[in-house]
Amino acid sequence: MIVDVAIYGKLSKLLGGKFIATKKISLPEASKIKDLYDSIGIQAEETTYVFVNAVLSDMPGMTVALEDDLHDGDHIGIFSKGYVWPYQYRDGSVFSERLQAALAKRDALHHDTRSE
Amino acid sequence: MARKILRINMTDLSATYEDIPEKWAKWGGRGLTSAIIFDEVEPTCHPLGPNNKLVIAPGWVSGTPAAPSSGRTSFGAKSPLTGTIKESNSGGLSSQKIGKLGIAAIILEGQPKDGKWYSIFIDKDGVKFEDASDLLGKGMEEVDKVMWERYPHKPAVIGIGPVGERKLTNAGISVNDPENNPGRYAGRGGLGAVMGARGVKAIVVDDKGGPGVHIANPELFKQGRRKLTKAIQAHDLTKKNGGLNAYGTDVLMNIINEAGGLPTRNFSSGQFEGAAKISGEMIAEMVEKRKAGQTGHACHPGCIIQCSNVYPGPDGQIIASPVEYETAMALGSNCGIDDLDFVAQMTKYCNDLGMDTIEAGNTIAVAMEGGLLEFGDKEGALALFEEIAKGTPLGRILGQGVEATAKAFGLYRVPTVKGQSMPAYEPRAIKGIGVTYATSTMGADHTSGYTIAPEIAGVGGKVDPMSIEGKAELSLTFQAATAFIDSTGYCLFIAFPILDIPEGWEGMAESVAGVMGMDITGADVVPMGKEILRMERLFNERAGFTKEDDRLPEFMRTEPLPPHNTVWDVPDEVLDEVYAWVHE
Ligand code: SF4
Repeated sequence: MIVDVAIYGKLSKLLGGKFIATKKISLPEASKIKDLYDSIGIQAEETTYVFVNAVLSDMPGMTVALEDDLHDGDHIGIFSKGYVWPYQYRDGSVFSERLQAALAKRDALHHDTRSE
Repeated sequence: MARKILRINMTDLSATYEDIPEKWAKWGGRGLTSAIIFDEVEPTCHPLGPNNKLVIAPGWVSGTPAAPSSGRTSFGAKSPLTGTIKESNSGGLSSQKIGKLGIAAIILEGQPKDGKWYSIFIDKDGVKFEDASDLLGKGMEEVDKVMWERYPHKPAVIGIGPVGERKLTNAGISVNDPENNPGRYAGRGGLGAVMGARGVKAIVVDDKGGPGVHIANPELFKQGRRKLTKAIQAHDLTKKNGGLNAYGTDVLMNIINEAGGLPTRNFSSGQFEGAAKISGEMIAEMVEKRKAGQTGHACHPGCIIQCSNVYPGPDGQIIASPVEYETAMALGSNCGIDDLDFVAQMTKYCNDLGMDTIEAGNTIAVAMEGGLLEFGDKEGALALFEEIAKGTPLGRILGQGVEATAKAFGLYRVPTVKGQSMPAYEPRAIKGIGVTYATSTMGADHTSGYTIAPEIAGVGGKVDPMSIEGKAELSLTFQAATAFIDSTGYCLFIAFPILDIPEGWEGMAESVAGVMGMDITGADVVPMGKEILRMERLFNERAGFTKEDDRLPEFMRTEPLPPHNTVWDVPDEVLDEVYAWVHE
């Protein structure tokens, strides 16, 4: 399968970008997000927001998207550490089922150095 | 020294310093502009007529030493764009200087009998009226320059461009930044037209030798300031080299686009293929590549977040400051334009002519939908700006904003609430903000409701980010907290850290309590914010607004938005709950 990847922030260097990199990447059939990370050299902990076809699939401090299946033609948007999507502008958007389940189990997310 | 109200009457060219009446004594910033408008302006008056007033108020802590990011000025009036009460908030030099002169608010009222234009100079010795006929027709770049040549001490310049002189409803009020650029705007709601209708081209404020801001309890103030500063410096979004500092507000472009919520081609899609090219990351890249301009710029002295930027052109010459997310959406994705240099150029044009960039870009998008030009047509967009600059009949229609332009072109898809066009978050994809757009006292506004971590604001319970259950109470709480922050003089961007970090929330309240000598804590923030909202809501009711006005445009309920193909489906009852308490 071929997927379309966009990386934002520091991790974009892995695909030769400065602040942003985009690339079509070929993966074996039945690949998952973790296989995509492996092929690029991304550590899951270094990511914050991850989108698959505009569905929010991961958040800062969480790595729940690793097992998500990928399909031919998918678009994956990956944000590096340092990004914050304030809930002010996030509430009511589309979340993956796995992320919804993970969020239901934890307290509110905070974006400060206490978590580091 | 107790704070004073400076009342400037343009009918008889008089200026009086009044003691602040008890009923207004506790307010600053937005709380004060809204209290004065509520008490003194007839809600049914014509916004451009003799009975409207423009109120300018620094926040509670503006002008105090080292309160972080606290140079915000509130401008209030009845809005000619929405017909509602309005508070439009700006950075730049004005707030700290007005505060340091001991002035709680400037009330600008009346209209010159001779039909002439004036500029007003305010310093520690009082107020001078000057003939402004030599400045008429001039853009704000020149007005700022002239004023710094004319007056010493690098004063604050509050002014309107030609669009404000023509009293068009997309006229904003410019405030100069520390480099004397006209890029800081009380942009939304057409308040530049209200200033124009008073016959005032510019207000110049020099605080040299002023009494300074009285701090009732310096220890409490310092304690609060310390906590707040720490929170700002700890939060990923607001700390040094954090998201806002590194990429500016346009850091949101790629995130909102990936989420499918970026208004594109007059709100017909939630994703724009050229989003990356007009994003904050690209601004940072241009600054680096062109070895000119700046990210991490401060819009006023003492801002520690520094979300502003100075954008350079290909030749290294500065084009505009700042290029912001909302602008990149309105003049970029919403017009189908993926060229950052163009967005910067149009920003410069807006800043000089005196227009709100959000409304201006969204207006061009509506003209594109109306068939006047194609989506993506940069030269065509530029030509429309020239029409606005010249004041041609078409230019005057465009200068009125989205709603008037949509009417002129017979359009049905009009992305406005209460006459004000929507900012850069598609409510069909990001539904939480739609509740705020619909119910805000200001029309569709992204700043009038910030979502809150419930445990900090005391809403209680855990918020499910996916559902609309409980969203009415949440939206109200956000709107109330915002009304309070807009009263402090702190930049609204402190909302991000203080809503995540409880000590920051407390610190904000303590710093205000310290300056004002008020007995308040973090627990008073939301109730005081609600007091402000109540005045605003009642004003709007008396102006003829009902809950039926708290609705998003009809097309958003029926037209699915790609890529999620969702419609706006939050029930009206949820929207009606948000302000049900006003009459309880
Ligand atoms: S954070 Fe940005 S908008 Fe707010 S005061 Fe600082 S520079 Fe101005």
